[in-house]
Amino acid sequence: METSLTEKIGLNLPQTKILVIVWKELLDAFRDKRTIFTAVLLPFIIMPLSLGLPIFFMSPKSNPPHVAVLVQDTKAKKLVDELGGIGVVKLSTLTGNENLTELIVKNMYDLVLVIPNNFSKVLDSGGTAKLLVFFDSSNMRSEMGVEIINGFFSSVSEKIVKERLQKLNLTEQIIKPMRVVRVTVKTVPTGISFIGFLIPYFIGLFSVIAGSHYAVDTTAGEKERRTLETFLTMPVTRAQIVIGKYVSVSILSFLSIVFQIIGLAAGFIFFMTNLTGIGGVSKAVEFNLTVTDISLIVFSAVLTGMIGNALLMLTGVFSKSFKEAQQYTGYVTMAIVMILLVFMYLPPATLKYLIYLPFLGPLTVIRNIVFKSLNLERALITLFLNIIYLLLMLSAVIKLFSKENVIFRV
Amino acid sequence: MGTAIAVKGLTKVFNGLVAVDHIYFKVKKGTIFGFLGPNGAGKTTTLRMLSTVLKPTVGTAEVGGYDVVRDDLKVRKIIGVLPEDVGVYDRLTPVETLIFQGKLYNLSSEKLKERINELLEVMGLREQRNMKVGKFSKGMKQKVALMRALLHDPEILFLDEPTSGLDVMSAREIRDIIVKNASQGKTVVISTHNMWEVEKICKYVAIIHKGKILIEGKKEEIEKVTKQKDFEEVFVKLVKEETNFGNFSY
Repeated sequence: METSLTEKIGLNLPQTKILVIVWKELLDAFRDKRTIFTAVLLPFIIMPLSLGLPIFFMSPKSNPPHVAVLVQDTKAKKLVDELGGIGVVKLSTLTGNENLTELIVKNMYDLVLVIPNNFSKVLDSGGTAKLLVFFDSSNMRSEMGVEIINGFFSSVSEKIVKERLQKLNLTEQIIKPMRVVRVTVKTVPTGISFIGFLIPYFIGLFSVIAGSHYAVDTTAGEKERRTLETFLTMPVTRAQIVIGKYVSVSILSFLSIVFQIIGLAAGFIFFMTNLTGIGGVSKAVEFNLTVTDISLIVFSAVLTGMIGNALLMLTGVFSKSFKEAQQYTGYVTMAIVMILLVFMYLPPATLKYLIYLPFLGPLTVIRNIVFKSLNLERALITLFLNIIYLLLMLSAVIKLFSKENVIFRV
Repeated sequence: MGTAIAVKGLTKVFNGLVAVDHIYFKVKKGTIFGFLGPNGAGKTTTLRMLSTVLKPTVGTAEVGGYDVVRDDLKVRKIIGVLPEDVGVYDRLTPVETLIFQGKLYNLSSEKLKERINELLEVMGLREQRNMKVGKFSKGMKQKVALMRALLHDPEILFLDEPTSGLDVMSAREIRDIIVKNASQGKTVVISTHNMWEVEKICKYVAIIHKGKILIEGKKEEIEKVTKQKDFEEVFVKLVKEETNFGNFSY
């Protein structure tokens, strides 16, 4: 009789119990539609879309605000053409017979710009010409349009001020008695500082999101489906069961993390470069990382993920049902997100204390590598400490898994 | 005939509640031993202690000559268990389920293939070998669980309600398999409510109620001592009166 590929793999497995458990756990997981959803669909489709779509809709280039312009001063038409030429607003001309407020209220336009008939005259006489902008503060695109209009007319204003000063034989210094000069002592470019905050945040976040479904399914799910009891009658130790399950959760979560990174990167590149053109973020950033840096980043990320998975397993083993475990992992994820948000905005002086903490330690190492402020000796201590934390957490999972009142909790 | 299982003062307390209270009994090798009792009497807890899933609070038990606490891994190697909830992996096929189990029992690939084909044939599941167990009927799932218990050719079988909820045909098939295994020298301990099943296949019986063994011994002797004509009457009388007749074989 024909043997399937999965059977062939199973039959040819070496007699290593942990490996056999990993084979069964992965087989079980890959046949679960929810695993496919969390490991493939979420990272490749939902994650890039959920991050990219808000950017897409908020970007004036991909989704420019619709501005209705009422030009009462024919001399100002050139200025309106220049505004249209910047490419981040969509202009329409009004005749003057419309009810301007209604145009906004009925969402026909995001904002209305009125250039009064005395506009050029006031400018030519050296006065301050007024422009009217009607907008809706509850509409983000309307607010964005106001910013764009403001920015455009500010730059025109500056040009006019310069010309007026030149006519009077004066320089700009007369109206700018002071100027703040920014001198950065760090050698990292702006793009890197943005990514430097984001990378540890996402690694930390993924480490608890990626494996959460499967960690819950293989522990609390197995309890709920009543498959655990037979497992416990087989000649394997509780430690072997926990390690087998933990390895399979880790494999799945790392796969998911890789998919999420690919999905995120694709989403960022696609939405931000091709559609929004926000160069400051998406432009190519040269990291100049050494092999040691890359190895340390990968190791730290893996370690963070492993600690995250151990935490999820602990939650799953403790819970009596899938639903209860999902609730707990929800709280854990929320707590981690909050910690990560605080971590992102912490002043660098506090980072030296964080390196001794589980989970945040490896993330600090990654942050330091990106910001070129790595102390290799401290980083190694951090990683060593976190390996100890991981082993302690795993032994806690094994201990909990060996407790009858936890395993048979109903 | 030697002793396969020897239970000495086995006790289990859950949060102050005594589930099994100092029970003593012996099971002879190669026999079918019926473990009877109403719901919540302590049958499943006893089987769980004997199959090393739970640790006794007090007392000891030897299964196949091994202590259930000290030599738990050795006990697990020689027993096959069919729990009350069959607990089969719905997303795996019967063959994958058996490969998983067989590999944990260190069966060689050749031996494993041979046993899988043998059991699929016996259970009549050859056609369904590549179907996911989740799509099986209750009876078929029970057969998968029984195949799993029999795969490594264990000396002792613990079967918790093996025919519960099955239709007449499936229950009969399962019973036939149990009897066949006992005739091949395996010791079978069955926990059941089904008095007819006890009459039909068990040679030795123990009745447990509120965690205590009320009577234990050869089926015919029990009927004689209790002066009842069938086992249902024996069961009702003992449980109602909570009379403790003790052990005849211990």
